[in-house]
Formats: sequence, C-alpha cells, structure tokens
Amino acid sequence: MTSGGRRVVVLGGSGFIGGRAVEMLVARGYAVRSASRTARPLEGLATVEPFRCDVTDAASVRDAVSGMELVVAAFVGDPRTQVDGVRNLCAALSASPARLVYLSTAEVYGGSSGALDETAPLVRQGWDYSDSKLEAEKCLQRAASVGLRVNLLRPSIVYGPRSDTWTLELGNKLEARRWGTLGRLGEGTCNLVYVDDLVAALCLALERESAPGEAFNVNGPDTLTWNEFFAAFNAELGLPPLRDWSRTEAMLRAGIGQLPRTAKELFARRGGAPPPVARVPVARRRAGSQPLAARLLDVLKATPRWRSLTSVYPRSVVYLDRKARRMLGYEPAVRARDGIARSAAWFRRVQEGTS
Amino acid sequence: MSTGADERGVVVIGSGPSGAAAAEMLIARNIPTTLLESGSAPQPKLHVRIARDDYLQRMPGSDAGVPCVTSGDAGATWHSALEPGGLSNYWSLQTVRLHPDDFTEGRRLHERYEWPLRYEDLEPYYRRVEGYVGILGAADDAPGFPASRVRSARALPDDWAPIAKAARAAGQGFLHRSVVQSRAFDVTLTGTAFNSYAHLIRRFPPAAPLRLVTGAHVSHLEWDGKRVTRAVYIDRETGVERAISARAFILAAGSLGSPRILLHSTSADFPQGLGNTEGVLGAYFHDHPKCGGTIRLNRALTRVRIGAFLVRPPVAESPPLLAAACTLQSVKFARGVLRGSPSIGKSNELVWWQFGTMVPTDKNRVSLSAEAKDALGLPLLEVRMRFDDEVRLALATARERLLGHLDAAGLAPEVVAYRQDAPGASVHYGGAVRMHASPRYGMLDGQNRLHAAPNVLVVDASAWPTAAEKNPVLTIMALASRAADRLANELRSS
Ligand SMILES: Cc1cc2nc3c(=O)[nH]c(=O)nc-3n(C[C@H](O)[C@H](O)[C@H](O)COP(=O)(O)OP(=O)(O)OC[C@H]3O[C@@H](n4cnc5c(N)ncnc54)[C@H](O)[C@@H]3O)c2cc1C
Repeated sequence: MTSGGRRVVVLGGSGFIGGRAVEMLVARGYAVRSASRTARPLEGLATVEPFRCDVTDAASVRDAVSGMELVVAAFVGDPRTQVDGVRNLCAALSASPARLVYLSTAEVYGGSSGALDETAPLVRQGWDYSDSKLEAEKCLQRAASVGLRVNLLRPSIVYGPRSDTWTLELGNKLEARRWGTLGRLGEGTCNLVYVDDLVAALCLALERESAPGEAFNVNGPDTLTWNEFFAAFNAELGLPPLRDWSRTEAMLRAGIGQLPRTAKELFARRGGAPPPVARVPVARRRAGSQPLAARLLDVLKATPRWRSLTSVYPRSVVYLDRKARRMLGYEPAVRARDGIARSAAWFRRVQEGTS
Repeated sequence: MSTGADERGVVVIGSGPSGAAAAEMLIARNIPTTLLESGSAPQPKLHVRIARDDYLQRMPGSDAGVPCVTSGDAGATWHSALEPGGLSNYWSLQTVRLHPDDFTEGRRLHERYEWPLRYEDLEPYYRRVEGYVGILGAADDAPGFPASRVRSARALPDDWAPIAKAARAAGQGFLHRSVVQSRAFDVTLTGTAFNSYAHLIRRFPPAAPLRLVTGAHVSHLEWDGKRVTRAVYIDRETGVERAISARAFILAAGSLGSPRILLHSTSADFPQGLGNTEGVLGAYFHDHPKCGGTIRLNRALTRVRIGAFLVRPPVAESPPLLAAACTLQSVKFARGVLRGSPSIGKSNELVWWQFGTMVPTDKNRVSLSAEAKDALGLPLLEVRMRFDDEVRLALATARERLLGHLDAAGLAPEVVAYRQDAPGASVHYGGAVRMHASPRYGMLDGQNRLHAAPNVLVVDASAWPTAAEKNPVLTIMALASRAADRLANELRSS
C-alpha cells in the first residue's frame, strides 16, 4: 500500500466508522493512533496506539494531533461536541502542515430532494445532528480559506457491522417484530453506503490530496427504497416477512411515540444530556404466546421517529458521488445485498455471544 | 385506406401552442388548413386561482402523452399530452422572449450551435403572438431581457428595488415576471388562462378556411421520391388508418411527437427517418435542467404573487451555452398563513425555481424502440438524457448570484428547502429535429423546412438548435408563426 507507515490519528477511533477506519488504516500499513474518550485498546490491534482525548478540550486535541501527518475526524456527539471539536481541531492545526479529512454527512443538504451533487446548497433542517455538522463544515471552510489542508466527506446512510442505528437498533426492532414497512412513506430512497466503502473513500482522500475545503459525497453502488432495505435486512435475519404498516398506521405509531420523546427532550434540555446507552442485540425471543399487556407494550414501543417518518423515509433523493469517483478514484465495491448479509451475520454473531 | 383530399392546402399536425400559432398565420393568409390532432377531447381538469395564487394546477401524467422508454439519469420522466391544446392545458403561463445573444452565443463553442436566423427575424412575430395572447409584466428592456409588448405593464414593489439594484450592478436584469394575463380569481376547466385550443383555435372565425380533425393520430408521412404527399393517421374512434394529402405539411406535434413521426416515416430514400440524411434526427435533444426551493429572508417584503424574474448571468461571464435564470414568488397566501406570516400583504419567504441550459450533444437523443409499442401499435420513443456536472454547476452559479443579490440588499437569505429535478421535469424539451444552415448539423433550414424534403416543416421546439434558459412558449409560437408566414408566401407565389 501507499502509506509507507505514515502517522495518522483517528479522532473518534472507538466509534462505528472511526473503529473501522483504524482497522483498515492499520491494514494499509499506517501507524495509527486511535483517539477517544475511553482510549479503549482495540482487540487484536496491538500496533494501534490508544490515546485518551476529549475533543471538547482544546489542549487534549492539540496533544492528540501533535506529530501527526494525517488526521481523520470521525468523532460524533451532541451539537456542542461536534462544533467545539471542530473548532479545537482547526486551532490545533492552524499552523500545521498536517492534512485533515473530516467526516460530515449528506444530511447537510437537509431535506433537499432529487439528484444532489456537491453544488447543492447546505440546508438547516432543525435537527441537531445535521445542523451541527453544517456548522462544523462552515468552520472548516473558513479554516480552509486560510490554509487548513482539509477535505470533507459527506457519506449518505452508512451501515454495516457495529452500526448502532442501522444494524443493532434496526435488528433489535425487527427481531422483536416492532417494525414494518411504511407504505408510501417508506418509498423514498435509502442511499446505503457500506462502512468499508466509506473508509476506502477516506483512505483515498488521505492519499490523494485535493484542493483545501473540497467536499465529496460518498454513496454506495445501489439505491433501494427504505421499504426494500427493511425487508431485505429482515429477510437476511431469517425472520418471517415484515408486515406492511401502511402510511396511516405508521403515522399513528410515530405520533404516539413522539409524546414520550418530546417529553424526554424537554426534560433533557433542562437537565443536560442523558447518559449514553450502549446497545447490544436483545436475546432471541422464544416462540410462544405473550401476555396481552406485553403485546400492547410492544406496540407502544414500535414507534418510528416522527422526523424520520415524515422527512427521511419518504424523501426521494440521490447523492451523486461522481466527483469522488472522478477526483479520488472512489469505486464502491460492496453491493447492498452483500452489505446487508454481512450486517445480519454480524448481528447474529453478537447476539449468540450475548444471550 | 381512405384519403381526404386537400391538395390545395396545408396540413398542420398538433394543436398545441406551435400548431395553433402556425394555423393562426395560415388562416390569416387565407390558406386552406387542415389541423390533425391526436387527442379527441381535452382531459377534464380543474384549475383554481385565488388572489393570483394558483391552486390545483397539475402536471400531465407521464402516461397522458407520448409513452417513452427512458435511460440516462435515474428518475427521468418525459411529459407530453395527447389532447387538444397539448401541454398548454398545463403550462404556468410564463412568457419570455429570447435575447439576441441567444441566437449567436453558441458560436463560441462550435458552429453547430449557431441558429440560422436572428432575433430581428423573429421580432415581428413575437409582437403578433403577444398581441393575441395578452401579456402582463415588465414593459421595459433590462440587461439580458428584451421586453415583450405587454397588455398590462407591471413593476416590482418599491421594497424590492434594492435587489434589482444589486442585480443590475452585476449585469443582470431583475424585473416583474411576465405571464399571460389572467383573472385574479378564476375557476376554469380548460386548465390554464391560455390554452392554445380553447383560447385560440376554437375562437377562429367560423368562416375561416380551417378543418379540424380530432382523434387523428398521425403515424407517418409518405414520401413519393420527390416530395411528401400524404400524412397517414389512425382514427382513434374507429381504429381505421386514413391518409390526407396536401401541398405542405407542418409538424407541430411537440418535442417528442414530431421526431417520433419523422423517425417512423421511413422509405427507400430515407431508411433512417424522413429527411435524416446525416444521422442528426433525434440527436441534440435538450431540456432545461431545473431546481428550486424556498428562501427565507430576515424581513418581510411586499408580497409578489405573479413573481419576479432574475435574468441569467451575463454571457461574457458564463461558459458558452451554460446559464440559468431564476423566478421568485412570495409563498402562497395559504401557506404563508399556515407558517405564521407576519402580515397579509408581506412575506419573508420566497419560493424560487431555476431553469438552466445544457450543451446539446449527440449523446442525449431520442430514437425509436426496436420492440416496445404503444396501444396503437406504433413504436415507443426511447429518450436518453444525462445532466453533466457542468449543468449543475451553472445552476449553482445562478443560485449563488441570486443569494448574493439578496444578501447585498440586506436580506440575509437562507435556503430552507431545495430540490434538484431529474431530466424531464421542466417540460421544456427540444432539439431533436434541429435547424441549421448546413444539413450536416441540422435537419431544417432557416425557414423550418426539411433540407431534404422542403414541403415538410417542423415548427415546435424540436427545431431549436440550442435552448436558452428562457421559457419556450412565446418563442415556439413566434417561430411557428414565422415559418407559416414564409410558407404562405411560397404557396401564394407558386
Ligand atoms: C406544468 C407545465 C408548466 C409549463 N409552464 C410553462 C411556462 O410557464 N412557460 C412556457 O413557455 N412553457 C411552459 N411549459 C411548456 C409548454 O407547455 C410547452 O413548451 C408547449 O406547450 C409546447 O408546445 P408545442 O405546441 O410544441 O407542443 P405540445 O403542447 O406538446 O402540443 C403537441 C400537440 O400535438 C399533438 N400530437 C402529438 N403527436 C401527435 C400525432 N402523432 N398526431 C397528431 N397529433 C399529435 C398533441 O396531442 C398536442 O396537442 C410548461 C409545461 C408544463 C407541463
């Protein structure tokens, strides 16, 4: 590989994407430092240097990047973490020749629809996650205009083993029969990109420097509808066919589910962020009848998020990654079917281990 | 096969804006005219306008017209309407003349992008069409914008002036949008305030030398080795094939319909379609790439319901044949109220949309499907269209300029919704039977006649060698009117 043992730090190296980036960078021969709050060493990767870093602390970021040629920013967190992390990073790299690749998200295009390339406008959508990424991008663009060597990746729906949202959470819901297809509301496009493809794009961005501030959409080779994705993952898990909830039922469920969520959010806004939860697959349920109350509770828990239901799943959008293909030589390799099969197999493996 | 004889006259195929404008001119010149229209009756539709805001306006379903097999960009849909009046049952009434530069600009890229006529050639016909259509809007020329002869002059409210000033400083006109004049409150079953069938053809005087045949779907033209003698059509009611002869034939079947007829008109002399000596039939098909969304401003401006128009960036500052124009409107009253609009007469949200251009090439084209057929047994059209990155860039450039002007006017604009449409969405297609002085680059001469079969004219937007970003109807009608006028001269003198 072309790395020649170059020194790279992955900020957020214990996360879903960051973790995979660490593994794949090691395989490519980089000398990798994995920076995270826990600095948990990665299993089977003795050569990786675990590094404790809190991105909201300027000094800590400065330490984490010192002596590094390459920096990958793959940390996630609440809006403050996102934005402060990036500010600290810009400050730490302000006089440094190090190159930064920042993991943004295609959600910075907001609720926009159609075939979007990087010339589409960035649109706030009143969602903390994407709005703070957008803010972070703006910081980075300002820094790029005064010399920071940064490139940004805007992946679409990143899935694969260890994905909290699209493998664990969804797998658990499917397993518990707490999910369905969403009728017309699920007919929007699900732009799946397998985590390995994204990390491949990330490596390419590290290896082929582009103009400062250049951003790239990163998408997978197939576009499914959300309903197709749910059904395919469900089938790969070997579960009986998904029930179609229909638009009305999905809306009702989301409406019910929104009440406690709103309450929780209001509460959280006053009392600070709730502690993070580590997700694991629930143990496989035994067949047999459940008491009525438990079944009722299940229905109440089977509630899609209102925002996702009204603005993500029905959205007809394709994120064009022609620029990444042209300028980075990016070529997504994992077809949706394979990626979903790998995710399901991983889900089952972990489940076996925990039950 | 029965034959309707009309040896003295002209057959016009299609009753959309192009066919209606051609027929209007022929009748005015007292040329016997037969109008063949595929549709039997207009599809029922309802259009409601309240306080100049349009409601219940819709797109023709993509199955309402010429069925197509699509390739190229994902999501492309091709709209047409096989009904009397064609797409003017659905259009949104915006009228813009082309600019003199639009006829010559393509020369910067290659001679194949040069029109075989000039703005001055069309100008009198613009006036004629504007006269009977009736236009409301900007009465004065602005940079990049030759004003129409309007029936009702309109200007933007005073609090919009800073935007116009900023735009002008950057060489772009910014003015009241020009549209067909319509009533402020209206409920119509004809769909729009100007439907070329209901508002033009049906209103020709009873004594006019016009024969209208509806439910007549033309499949092909017959070539006898020297000229085209007959148009063959299928009578939709009986399913019987009929033919009609004439001295000349005007194709006005729309940008998808006209190339389809020519491609299907094969003979020993023209195995690749009538007049297709150089293989250009079907190539250079173009569309207006489209995008749009909503912009929020930091303060409310006087509501502009019909809209404002931002002319394309100056030619000198744009890559050849790549530009876009923007139309802005205050959000509809009903929506403004729902979103807590600060006052009835003002709004801080603008809906905007853009039409851009693309460089026509032989990669984007229409052709006949080898297998698929429609309900009448005629081969389907295959449409291949792809928007290159340069196209999106031109849209983005125009958008950034618009946001820049709004910013310079102190309005701190923020895009809050955005949509980038797939090919086909603008319904401003053309180019597949293009004009060019040389047969090498175009099927038609400067008077819309087939180089290789001069008693056949194609007068809809298929004839356009390039598509400036302006809405096409006014130019379609002016060009058709001019072609028919020239044809009338010829028929009179021979
Ligand atoms: C929603 C919408 C909004 C629009 N808004 C605008 C706007 O604001 N401004 C603007 O300038 N343009 C607008 N347009 C575009 C405009 O409507 C078209 O450009 C215009 O109608 C084209 O006119 P035409 O005569 O070339 O073709 P058409 O309107 O397509 O008419 C073609 C006619 O030919 C007939 N025909 C087709 N094939 C055959 C056949 N084989 N035999 C017999 N008859 C046949 C059809 O039935 C039809 O009557 C809009 C279009 C849509 C759909």
